[in-house]
Amino acid sequence: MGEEKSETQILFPGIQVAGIEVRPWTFDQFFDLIPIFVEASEYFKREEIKFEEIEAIVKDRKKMLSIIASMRPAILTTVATTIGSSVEEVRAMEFDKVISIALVVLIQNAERIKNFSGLGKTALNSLVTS
Amino acid sequence: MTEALEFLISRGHVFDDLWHRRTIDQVWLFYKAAHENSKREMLDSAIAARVAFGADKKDWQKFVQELSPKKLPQVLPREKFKLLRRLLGGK
Repeated sequence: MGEEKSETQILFPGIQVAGIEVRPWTFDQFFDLIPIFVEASEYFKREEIKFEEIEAIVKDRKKMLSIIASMRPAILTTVATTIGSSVEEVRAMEFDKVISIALVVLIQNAERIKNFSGLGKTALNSLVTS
Repeated sequence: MTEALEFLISRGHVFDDLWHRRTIDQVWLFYKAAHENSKREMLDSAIAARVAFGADKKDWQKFVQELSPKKLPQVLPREKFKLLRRLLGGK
């Protein structure tokens, strides 16, 4: 997940997942998703899950299903924001399709999610309190 | 981030495009490339200034000629084309 992307990968980042093009986030999408990151990072902290362990967790079906069940609304919102659909449309999709897209989103934006730390939270707090 | 966006906009990018359409990695890639291009332009200007001050008349004219765009063949307007044909003996 931590590999340096080539120029071609950056310029042509779209990946087709079950007929839907999935691209890494734009600034607009990233800022829209900050509340989801806060929610997810709190959940990960509560469950003592480290982001570095995510690759191993993806392979652990039982653990993965428990995360998906707990984070379902966040996953639906993230997928909807990423592919430019509504949450209702994503909810109507096949479960496997949504999970496949969610995993691609996770891989494509791994660096962004990993770097989301105090900075994002501070920005959000200042927006809420101002 | 603001500095990067401002720099890209100053070089002709459009905010809406950078914010809503380009991925974050693409924006950083463009920012890096824009910086390199800007440095190269500065180098080109510095070379031109140096040549302008140091070169003699002949070398300076050669330098200007090298950098000037080649003249493109002009397309004649219909009226001028008709006049030219008449003058050259055609109908």
